[in-house]
Amino acid sequence: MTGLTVFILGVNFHEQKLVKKALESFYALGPQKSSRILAKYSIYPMMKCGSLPQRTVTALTAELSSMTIENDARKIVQDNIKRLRDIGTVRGRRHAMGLPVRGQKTRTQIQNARKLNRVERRG
Amino acid sequence: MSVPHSLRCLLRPSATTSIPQRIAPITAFTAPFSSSSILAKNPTPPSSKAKVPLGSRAKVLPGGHIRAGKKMQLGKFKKNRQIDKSRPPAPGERKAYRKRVTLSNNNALPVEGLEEMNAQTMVDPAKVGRMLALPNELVDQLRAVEAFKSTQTWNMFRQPSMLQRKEARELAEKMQTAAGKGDTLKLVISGDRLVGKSMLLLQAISYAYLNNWIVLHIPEGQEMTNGSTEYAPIPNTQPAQYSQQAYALRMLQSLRKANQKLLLDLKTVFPHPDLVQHFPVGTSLLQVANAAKEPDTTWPIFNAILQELTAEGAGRPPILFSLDGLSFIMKMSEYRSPAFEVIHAHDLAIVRRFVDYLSGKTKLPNGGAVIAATSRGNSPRNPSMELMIAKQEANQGLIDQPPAKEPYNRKYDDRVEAALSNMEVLKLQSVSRSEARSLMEYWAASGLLRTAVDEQAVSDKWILGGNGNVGEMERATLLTMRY
Amino acid sequence: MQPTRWLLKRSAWKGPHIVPLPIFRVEPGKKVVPIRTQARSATILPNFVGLKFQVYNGKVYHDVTITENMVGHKLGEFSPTRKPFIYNKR
Repeated sequence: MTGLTVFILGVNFHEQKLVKKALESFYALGPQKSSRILAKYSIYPMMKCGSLPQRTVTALTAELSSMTIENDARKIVQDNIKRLRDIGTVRGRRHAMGLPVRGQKTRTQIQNARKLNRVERRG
Repeated sequence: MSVPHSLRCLLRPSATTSIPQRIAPITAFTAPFSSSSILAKNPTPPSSKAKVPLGSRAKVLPGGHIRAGKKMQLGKFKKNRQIDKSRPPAPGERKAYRKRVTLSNNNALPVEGLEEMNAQTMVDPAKVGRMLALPNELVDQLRAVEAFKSTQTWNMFRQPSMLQRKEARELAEKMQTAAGKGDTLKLVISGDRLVGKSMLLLQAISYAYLNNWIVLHIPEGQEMTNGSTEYAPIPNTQPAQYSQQAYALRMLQSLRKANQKLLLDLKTVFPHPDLVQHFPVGTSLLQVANAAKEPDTTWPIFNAILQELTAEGAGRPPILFSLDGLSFIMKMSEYRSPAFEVIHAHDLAIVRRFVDYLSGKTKLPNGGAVIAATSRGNSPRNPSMELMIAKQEANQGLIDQPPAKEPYNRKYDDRVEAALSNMEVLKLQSVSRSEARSLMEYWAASGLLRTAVDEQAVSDKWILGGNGNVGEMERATLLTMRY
Repeated sequence: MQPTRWLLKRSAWKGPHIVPLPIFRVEPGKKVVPIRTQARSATILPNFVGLKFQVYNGKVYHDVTITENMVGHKLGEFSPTRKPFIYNKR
């Protein structure tokens, strides 16, 4: 069973998905920003993607494309880490080594740091 | 789905049952109800012991319950999960199941000799304490406005019928006088949990239909405000109001379904230039209402219909505007304005209209009633509403002392207090014993109560149900056989 | 970096943590003498740019040449206090 899909900023969303959750699936777009976007376009909190009128979809796409989300936002984070690395701080070194940055213990429980902390950080 | 009902009918309604709660005949002992503990203290032992599976370490407790002993479990941490391969319910199916209202049970016995509810019986003092059957046409109308609720026990009986309570007659009489004088009855139904507030509202709506009133009913106040229907700011309103087109369409649909005949007879008296479709003066209102098909185009039509219905001197019938779950529309809604401010429920246009009628700010020119029922289910605490209701109760002499406003509570709301400053309160009380008796006789006649309805039984259930709280009585008698 | 982290790390009314350091400019052509200090918590001010510091880490003094990017950080950030663990197999 394949339901209809709605295109927002080039991404397909199932018609049964909440608009709020669909917006939050973009990187750097959290609960605060998404609820502000909903309020701006008078979208009710429980609205599903399937019931969005077409003009709202285009308006949402236009709104999202003017925001720093996804790769733009990732780039900012990566630049910050790269700067730390370049000027030779301890924090930059820790990022490069994939270790916790803020003085946590490293004996156990550093899976998240291993996964996330790197100079070209992804998530 | 009628299977459970049929099983239920076969069961003997006794509260203490042994474990296999299926159709097995129940031979457990039940003590006659008594408020003194001597009788209950030394019950005669149950005639046959509850069956214990051979070889198990289950214990039989004094009450006849079987408590399974501790079982050894091998591979404790491996979950032996059974994979459910059946298809999950389609979108909306669960909700439909939850919301479904069954009004008839073919396995229940038909009750002979019930009087039908009509415009006269509702105001007749001689009919107080009788059961009245709802005529089929009325049932259809009530269903159209979603006045029946799935939590009410309609699904147990052959035909929907209601107890004509003292309060129901009073309310009907109040509506009658208000309509006769061309006044608006502004009333809030309050009362304890399960005492029958929604049922009383249902009776008010029935009265309205039986007397050919127009009924606008909001079945759940929370649906207006909990952020689940479409909303949009109405241009050129200061401070901004918000339309709810999808909800308006729903109201229009139920209106034209329930009041079809009446709307057909009513003709427009205003030209409506702002409507997309042109309706010359003299078009029937039904035709105007039928023009609403899409939520996008509903709002002007909804407004036009309301304008027509409240037209002065055009021979319009009285209007009942009713709502269940008052506290949901007396608070901030879940919606936000484009500037990200929380919208007060009173800024939603439909709610605003209701509240204006309730506060008397605008009047129903042809008479009618505005009735709101409070709800004690999942409704939010609303200090202002509670305060105003209590104040009004004190004014009416129902309670002694009007409560004082808590000085440090910041949750009071001036708009709510203004909205509720000018209404009447109907505090719904428990049923009397004679009313309880006729209700129980009806249950017995339907085959749901297998004991003789005598003074003893009535007073048992009356006391078990919190001194005549109808919902609790139903729980104690009808709903004891959950399986 | 999130703006809040800049704002929340230190009260605004205190201003940056300024430590009196023996800063003097040498004329070009002369040998640059690094400024040896143990004040790891001193904020790097814009007028430090181009200077050489020797920042103590509890054991040794690390040479740090201040560049423009480093302004606003602390001196201690450029002098690691721990030795990275390396497993030596003998």
